[in-house]
Amino acid sequence: MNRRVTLSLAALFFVACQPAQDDRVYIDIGDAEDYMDWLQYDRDDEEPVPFKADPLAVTGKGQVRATPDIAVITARISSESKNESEAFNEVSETINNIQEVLVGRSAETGFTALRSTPQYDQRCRNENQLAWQRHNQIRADYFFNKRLDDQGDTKTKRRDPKPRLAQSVCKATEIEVSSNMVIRLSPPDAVGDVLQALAQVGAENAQLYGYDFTNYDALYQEAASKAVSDARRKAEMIARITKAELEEIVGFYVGRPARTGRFGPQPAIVNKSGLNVYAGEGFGAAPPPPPPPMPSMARWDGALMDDSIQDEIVVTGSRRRSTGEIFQELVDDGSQESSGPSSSNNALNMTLLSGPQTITVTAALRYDYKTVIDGAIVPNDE
Amino acid sequence: MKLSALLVATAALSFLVACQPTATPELNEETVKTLAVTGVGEVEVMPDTFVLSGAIIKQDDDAQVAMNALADIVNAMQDGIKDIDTLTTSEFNFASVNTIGVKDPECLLFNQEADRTNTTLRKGEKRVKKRVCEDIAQQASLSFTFTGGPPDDAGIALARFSKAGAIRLKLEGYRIKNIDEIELQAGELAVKNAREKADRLAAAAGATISGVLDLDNYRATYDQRSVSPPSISTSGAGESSQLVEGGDPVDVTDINLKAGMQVVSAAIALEFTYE
Repeated sequence: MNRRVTLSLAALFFVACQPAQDDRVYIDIGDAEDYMDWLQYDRDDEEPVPFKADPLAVTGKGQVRATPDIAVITARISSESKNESEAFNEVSETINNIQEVLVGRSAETGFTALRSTPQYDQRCRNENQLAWQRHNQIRADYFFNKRLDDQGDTKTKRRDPKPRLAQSVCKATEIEVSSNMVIRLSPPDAVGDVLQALAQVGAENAQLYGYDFTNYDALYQEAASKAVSDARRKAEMIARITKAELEEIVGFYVGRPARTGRFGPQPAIVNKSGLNVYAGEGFGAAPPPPPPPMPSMARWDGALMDDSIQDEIVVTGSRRRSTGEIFQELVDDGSQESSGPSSSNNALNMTLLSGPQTITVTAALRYDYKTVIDGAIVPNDE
Repeated sequence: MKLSALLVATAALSFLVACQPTATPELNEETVKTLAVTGVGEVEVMPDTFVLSGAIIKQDDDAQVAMNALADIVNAMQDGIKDIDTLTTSEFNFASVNTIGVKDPECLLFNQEADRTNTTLRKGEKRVKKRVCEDIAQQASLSFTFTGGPPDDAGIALARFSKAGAIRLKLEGYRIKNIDEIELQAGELAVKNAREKADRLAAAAGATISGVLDLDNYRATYDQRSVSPPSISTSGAGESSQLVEGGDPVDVTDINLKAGMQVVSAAIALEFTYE
């Protein structure tokens, strides 16, 4: 009897000491925020959302075909001599001969970067450069070995000494007098004759820089208006067929003009501020221009673009781009100018034919529109 | 009693409503409807003057002789431009005039290399003893800028200066006296052009421009350059110390450098709101 009682008590004790079954939900501290978000999301989902269609996005393209009325030609004139005024005299005669070539033609000329610069023995300078590089290597090796010595490192191999190279005084061999020039020739059909004549009178690197329009902005505006009208027409057509009613425009993007200054290099204007400001591409001996901005008119190089304005529209990676900016970039990329059948880059520089050119501007519009189910509650898919 | 309580309550309510701060409309960058356009403006103008820069360097054993030779060239330059009948503006600006002893560049270079070797002296290498560099000549030099007008005379002035013995000559560019006013005119045209474009494009889309959102200042888009006379360095080693002699000057044909009209352009990027 006692034994039975003892066993019963032991069994009772054993059962009583078993851990009670835990029905609680444990949330990892790390997951708590996610869980709260989930709860919030769930609640948001339950709220009825009246239907509103995403805006209708349409793009349009406007093209204007026109014949350039100006050819931009660049050339370089230079002369080298041991006597500076002799070099000047030669350059002077060449420049005067060039002016003679242009007599009777409608041509605006501009001379930039007219200067004299000493020319040094190039081989000597190259050798000096090598000697300087060698000195830097010797210096680096010297400090490398010294650091090992200071640290008491006996295992690492020391760098072997390199032979020293001597520099020498480079002589000025000649003095170069040079000038760059730009000619804006109208009509452009005479460009072949002028280029040939320039070469004959001693101009170097005489080349067709590109073509220009006197009324570029008017042509741009016409193409841009066409692009917008085209986009609007598409939107109206889609709305008519789908029986939707267009409402307000909520996004309006038009490709920007590729040019904000005169095309081609021109002589500098001396400013009072004491700062060098280069709006376009310099050439020849002129200081290098800033890198060309986004080429929305790829055939014509960055000289057409205004860098200061470009600064405002370049989107850097450090800032999240808005939908509008992304749209604008797409629209700008689509806007360009091409020349007839050969619309590849620099097409105009490869041909002397000044045929009609096409200015293309792209536009994108985003319309809100009404549908028959506007305001209806959309059931949650889940 | 009830009426007066009602009046007091109404007055208090009115006061409360009246004293509420007026709601300021907030601009949401994501939802505000804008159209960005770039306006351009160009003004053609004939510059008033041209600006040249150059240098005169003369060496001799005697500093006085070098200085006299330099003065002769300055006088010859001034005489040279006096003959230009059409020149209406003539203004010299001498940036630096000095005389110094020119050291032997070979010696200066040797000492430079000695310094380099001595700072990285390796096993088996002996310390290099520096030399005392003697003057090999006395040098008188000056650098200048010259502002002249009309601008078409730039080529003639350059030729006269070269003939007189000036070296490192450079046509820096042209100066427009009222450039601020011209820039303003170009800026005004750019703003008008931007507005015109915005109106035209909005009309094409069936919208109307309601205002301007982002008014920025216009930017000049023409080439501008500051004037910097050539620097004359004779104290260093290597090629920087080399006297670049112009040689004995010869007759130089007057250069026909027509300045032509210069274009001052401005551009502005504006954002307009539309309805």
